[in-house]
Amino acid sequence: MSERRKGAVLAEHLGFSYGGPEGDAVLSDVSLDVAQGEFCAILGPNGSGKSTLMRLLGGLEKPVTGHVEFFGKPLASYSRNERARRIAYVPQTVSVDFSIAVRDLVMWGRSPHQGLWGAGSSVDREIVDEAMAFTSVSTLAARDARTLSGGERQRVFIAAAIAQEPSLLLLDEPTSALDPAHQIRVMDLLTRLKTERNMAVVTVLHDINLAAMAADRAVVLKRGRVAAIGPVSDALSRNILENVYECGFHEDRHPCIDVPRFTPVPGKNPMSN
Amino acid sequence: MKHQTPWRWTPVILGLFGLLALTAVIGLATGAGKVDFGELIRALSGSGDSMANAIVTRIRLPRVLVAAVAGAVLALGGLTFQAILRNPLSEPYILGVSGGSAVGAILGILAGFSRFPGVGLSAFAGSMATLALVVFLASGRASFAREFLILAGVMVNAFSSAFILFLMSMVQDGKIHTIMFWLMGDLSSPDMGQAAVLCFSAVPCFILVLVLSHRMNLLLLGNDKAESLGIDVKRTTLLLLVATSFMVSATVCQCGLLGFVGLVIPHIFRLVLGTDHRILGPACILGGASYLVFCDAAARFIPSQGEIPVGVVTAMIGVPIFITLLRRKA
Repeated sequence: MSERRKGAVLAEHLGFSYGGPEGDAVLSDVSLDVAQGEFCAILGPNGSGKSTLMRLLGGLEKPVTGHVEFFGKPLASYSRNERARRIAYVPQTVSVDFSIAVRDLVMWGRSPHQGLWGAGSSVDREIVDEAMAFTSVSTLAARDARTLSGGERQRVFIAAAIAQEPSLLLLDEPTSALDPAHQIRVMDLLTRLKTERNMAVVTVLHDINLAAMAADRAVVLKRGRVAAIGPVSDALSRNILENVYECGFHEDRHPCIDVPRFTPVPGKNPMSN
Repeated sequence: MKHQTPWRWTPVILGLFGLLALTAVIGLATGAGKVDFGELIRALSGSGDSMANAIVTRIRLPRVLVAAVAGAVLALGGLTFQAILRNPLSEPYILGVSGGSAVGAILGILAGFSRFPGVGLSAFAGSMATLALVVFLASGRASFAREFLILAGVMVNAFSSAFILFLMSMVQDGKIHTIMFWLMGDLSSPDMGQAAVLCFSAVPCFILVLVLSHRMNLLLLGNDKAESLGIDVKRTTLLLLVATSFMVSATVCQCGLLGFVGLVIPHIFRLVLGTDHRILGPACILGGASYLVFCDAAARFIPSQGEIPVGVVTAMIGVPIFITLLRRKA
């Protein structure tokens, strides 16, 4: 890793358990760093602590041990509003069960930059229009958000997160409910955000191949601990994945691009051999 | 979609102000079995006989004022609870405020307190005690688990109902009538002093809720999303809960349990205006006020003698309007 990497978020020895230090550990001794303009994927089986790690990185939960630094300052030292202006978080599911125009919903992403009453200035409106154009949802502006498809909804919430103008974008399984084409489209969007806007992007992904294609770095969690971390080419290997997921994998190369490809192998449990 | 500014809401607000003015005039002109605008004009200009003047300014005016503030409080209270509990069936009494204040009021009536301030204060003490209990029970949990708040409120209300029936089965007939009237909601006989007390309790709460109305929008996105947008979910929820319960309790003390306004007015405006609490708040205040003033006038006008409980009128007018809107929008 070169010395010139400009760190956006640095987590050191994070430990977390619900219900204080005595509770069952959800995360223990997790360290990672993500630079500006870098796309980091977080992988691991269900219940391995991925979502909790995202919540700690976003400052939504305080670590029980260890600490998170954001642009060289402890995350805890940022005020709520400062934090909200620099870190955007897209949860796994945001249910929209109320009627609201898509454009208004994206405008709500501007709230950390606005006053208490959320009055939109002309600058806010420009940023919202631009964010919606970026994720190709401009034509949906007047639509009721309840009527959106899964792919449209995900892009609307990413637009709202972009309108927040963060330096760090956190997404919890942004592709889990999407068809393959939309999954790729979301990955392309995230890639453009890191290259064109120099955002640090941290994403929980279930699809290993999607991570191998799009991410720069990967953190693989197993039962709340880091099983592998580093550039995707190092962190994702058959050995690591078989150990973490306790399932057989076949590894080859993607036929079109130069990335590894992993295929689960049925009936083969590497742990029982 | 060009105008995202609050100006797009100006016509709505002006229209509702007009509606409130109109219903207030109707309310002031309405007496038992008659509406007389001429009398109203004579009374207001001071040229009527002293009897008519007294009826309009000493009896009807405080009554219209109390009805307006009570309608506004209940509609805004329902809106707030529906937003923070994210439950469409929420009404201003959901956290046990109705049960607690009813127990307090009935104990006050049984103790032989005067209608005001004695019974009012005992009702207020009852509702504040329940609120404190529910908030205390919920406060150990992260960001006030909504289901927990709702269940705690329902349980407190259920216990209170049982306790009320117990008390009513123990007392003699004379006081039952007073208690029944209070339980059905009662807008009769306030004086200007009582109207002023209600106004002074409600207006600061209105301001607080309106100031926090954009935060109520963001709370709809769920606790995590709201937190990530910089909202202190726990503190905002607590502030809204306390402000709302305070003004609802003050209203309940004055008017008893006026049902239905708090449930249906916010839903009607949500169907018509969409989901933005920055307009829904003012709309509920003005619309709820107009609605209750109108219903109260109808409750006095329809029977040729006495009056029917205003709670009956609010439901009989509101339900058809609501169902019609719901069917048209669905």
